[in-house]
Amino acid sequence: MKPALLRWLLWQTLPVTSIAVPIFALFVALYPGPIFWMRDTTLWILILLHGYALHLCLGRPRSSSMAHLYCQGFSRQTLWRHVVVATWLAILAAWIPVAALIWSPARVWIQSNLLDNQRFFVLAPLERSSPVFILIAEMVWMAVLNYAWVREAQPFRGLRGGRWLARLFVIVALLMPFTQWDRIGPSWLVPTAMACWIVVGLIAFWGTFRLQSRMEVRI
Amino acid sequence: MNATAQLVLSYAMIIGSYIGVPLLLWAAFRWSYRWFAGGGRPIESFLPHPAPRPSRTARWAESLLLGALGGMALLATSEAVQLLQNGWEPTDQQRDRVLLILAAHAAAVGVAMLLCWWRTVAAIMWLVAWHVTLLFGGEVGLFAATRDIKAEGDIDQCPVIIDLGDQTDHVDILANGVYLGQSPIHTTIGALQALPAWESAPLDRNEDGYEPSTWSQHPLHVSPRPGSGESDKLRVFFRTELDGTDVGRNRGSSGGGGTFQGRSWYPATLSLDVQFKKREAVFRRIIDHARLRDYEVGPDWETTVASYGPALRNMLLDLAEHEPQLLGLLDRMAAREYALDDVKSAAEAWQKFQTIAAQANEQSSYATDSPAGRAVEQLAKLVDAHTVADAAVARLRSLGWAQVGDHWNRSRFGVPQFGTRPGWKPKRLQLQPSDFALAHLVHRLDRRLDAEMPYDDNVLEDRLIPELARYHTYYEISDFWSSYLGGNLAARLSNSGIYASDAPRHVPFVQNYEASERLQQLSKLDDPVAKRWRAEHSRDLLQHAEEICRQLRRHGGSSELEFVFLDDPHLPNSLAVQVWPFFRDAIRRGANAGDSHEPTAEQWRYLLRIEPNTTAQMYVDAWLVGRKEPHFDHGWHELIPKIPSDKRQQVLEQLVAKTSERMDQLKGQRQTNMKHELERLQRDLAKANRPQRAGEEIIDRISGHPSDVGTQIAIMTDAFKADRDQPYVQSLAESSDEREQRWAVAAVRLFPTQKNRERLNLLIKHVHENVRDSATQLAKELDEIAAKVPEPRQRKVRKASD
Repeated sequence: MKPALLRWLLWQTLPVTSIAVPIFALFVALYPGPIFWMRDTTLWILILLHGYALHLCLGRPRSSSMAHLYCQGFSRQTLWRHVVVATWLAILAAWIPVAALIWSPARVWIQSNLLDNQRFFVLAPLERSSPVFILIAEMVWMAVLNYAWVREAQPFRGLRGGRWLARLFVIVALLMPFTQWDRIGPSWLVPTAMACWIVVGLIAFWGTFRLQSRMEVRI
Repeated sequence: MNATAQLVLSYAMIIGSYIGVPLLLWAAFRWSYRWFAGGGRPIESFLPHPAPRPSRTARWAESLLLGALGGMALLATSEAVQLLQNGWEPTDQQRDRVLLILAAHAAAVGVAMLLCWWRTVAAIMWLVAWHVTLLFGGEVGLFAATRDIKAEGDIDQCPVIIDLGDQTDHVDILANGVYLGQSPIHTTIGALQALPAWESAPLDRNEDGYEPSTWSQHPLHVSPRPGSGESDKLRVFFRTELDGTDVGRNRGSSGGGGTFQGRSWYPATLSLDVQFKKREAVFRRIIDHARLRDYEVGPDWETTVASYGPALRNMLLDLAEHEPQLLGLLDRMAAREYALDDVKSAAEAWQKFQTIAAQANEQSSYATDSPAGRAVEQLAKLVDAHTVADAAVARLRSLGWAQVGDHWNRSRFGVPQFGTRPGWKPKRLQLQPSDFALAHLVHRLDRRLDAEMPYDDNVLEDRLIPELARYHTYYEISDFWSSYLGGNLAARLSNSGIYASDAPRHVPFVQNYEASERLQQLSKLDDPVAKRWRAEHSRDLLQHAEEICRQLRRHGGSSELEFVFLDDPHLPNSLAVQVWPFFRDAIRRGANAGDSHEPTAEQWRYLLRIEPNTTAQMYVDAWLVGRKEPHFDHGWHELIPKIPSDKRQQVLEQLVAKTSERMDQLKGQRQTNMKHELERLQRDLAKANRPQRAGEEIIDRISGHPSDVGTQIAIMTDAFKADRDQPYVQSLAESSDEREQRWAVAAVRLFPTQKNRERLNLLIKHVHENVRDSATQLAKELDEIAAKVPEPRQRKVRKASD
């Protein structure tokens, strides 16, 4: 690991993080119902926008900033590794306030005392696991986006396929809150969907890991 | 083309299109590619040369990603959700449609995964297009393809279930002169159509000539065309016989079902409501035996009661509302059947409850009025609340939110009978018969704990209300559960969904008025915490009542005002007393607009409920309002004896004076009518002037109907419910009027309690010979009833040839 490179990459994400942290925190603090990662369209849109914005900052191998770093003598593997770690850290920066609000009594206090949501304190236990799911959803989305751009930088045909894959991911992600399926389905539905989700992330990560060494950096 | 062939063809077309269309596209693309790439001559190979390593990685990664994403979308489609939904029982057509769409989706994902090994971009775009279609209403085409698959049911095959409304089983049922068997009857429309055709019911002969027919016609509605709303009606004449001796008298019937859905029938049901007079006489003897023995009965009585099943149990439970000793007898029967006397500790009580719950599941039946239900009520006094709460929470969680709702509503336990019928088969993941037993136990235990700690939330409220609230996150839940358990938490949460906290909701039956959900709920909740809330929010409730009064209409609305009488309406500053002026004005407005039904009676009933906070003038003013429409205002006459005696005379004096004045202003028939009314009032006034004696109001009411035995019995029954000592019987027995003494004999026959039996001795010694004879005869009859328990029911099966 090269701390200077990591610091430089994190500096690139600062504008996104400085906007995302208050937005996420405000959303979680003010949201009246329990947060279910599969059910809330707004939450999904926030996650998708946050991931996309982070990738605009860091994830494009053919961007001028990546070319600049490549010219400084960093290998493609080093650059990719640091981009992945920087992305994870940026996600954590937005996620930690969210988890803190949900796992501490703060959200219950805000809802009950400031917003007069009298029912929230009995509903709060339902969202205890949602920070974990939010983190996984962000990680998986980042893995898919990462794959999309690394694939686009490959020396073979069909380069646009990665972008379409990301669009497909967005559609599937939005299908879930639209149908509200987890509310009436059997108890195994949510764990199965979660497993599918993690599989998607792992495949995308594996594909990126295999392809990143051959990506073309445009100078 | 029949329905099955249509369905198969639709399947073939749709699945074929999802596999065939990509293959055709493939072939067309391949031909054009080879043609153009070869400059007009086909080249050797269409497929690209073996891909380099990164390309192969991408193909693997993307085909797997498409499979996983497609799988997730497959799970998330509304069709899959419907199919997986707890307790969803689709019609055949719905199931076909859902399976079709899921199969098409699976085919589309499979095609995409295959396409990855040709052009990954094409595969991804194909799946994106498919999902966009799916997301934005792509189901429409598939739905349209299956929409017309509607079969018409063969009406002969429609199953029919015929039973008796009061759940009396083993009753012989005949239809159009043919013996069908013993209830419940399971037959078909075809079998009923094959019966001899009857145009009308045959008359029954007796010694004096003809009597009303014992055959009664009941319609069965059958709808063989799904969704058409049209139904065929089959009319059959039925006759019921109990144990070969007692012929049922028709009181009506109810039914449902008989519709064809997809490719199967919902059975047509017909519940016959009949009266078995001989059996009712036996029931009376059974009950009177208990009364005459001062409710000290032996095992013979219990055996007889058990033999008549739920019909007698329900009657006992109805009577027990005003005669609690009968409930004690039912409890004793249950205690003996379930060996409850051996249950000493909370652990033993819980063990016993589990045995009852398991038995309910085995029998597929649980009813609160059954011996099992009575046993559960007794166990509720012993069980540990934490153990019950644990079991209920575990069950709620395992059932899922969709199953919890109206089954947990307290009002279900307010009626004498609730539970499942024998043979009830729960759907997958639905409430089992044992869940009804658990809900019953929770309810009774909660009542017990509420009595011990009225203002503190008990463990059941603490544990169950959050669980129920969680299952109803977004919906109005107060109707379901806040009225079931009550308590502080329920009061705090008794608003609508989390997105509409305290949002105003339309008040039922009251036009143009909305009030907060919480106000509406807590105004009606019979619970100590809600009572305290009402005391704290009396101003809001007064405004609420005022608004309801403002919008009162002739039909409906008054019931929404019932809440004002919940909390001691007899106190001088009670809500009911404060609301009276608004109610009075509302009735006056209605009367002026010709939109009020019995305005005097309505107001007098209200005034009687807020006694003693009334004056004689209030009754008179209310009466004057009703004078505008006298044809619709007669009910107040019945209420005169109920006006407290200290005001009745004043009221009647003023009524007589005002009627007299009015009569002078009228002419013709109206004057004659008014004269009759004046005479009646003068009689009432004469009675009011007499010195009082015990139960005189009741006697007055009975004497108002000298020839209407039915009304006399109803009045005596009301009096018995109000005061089981029946002081008016004593007055009647001591009277010198022969007619009143006869009423005393009738009252003793109706309610042969020990006290009344002693009063009969007075009448036996009486001067009037007729009274003496009938009293002696009654005493003999009662002695016989007290000495011997009626025989248990002897079931007899009629032969088909009878």
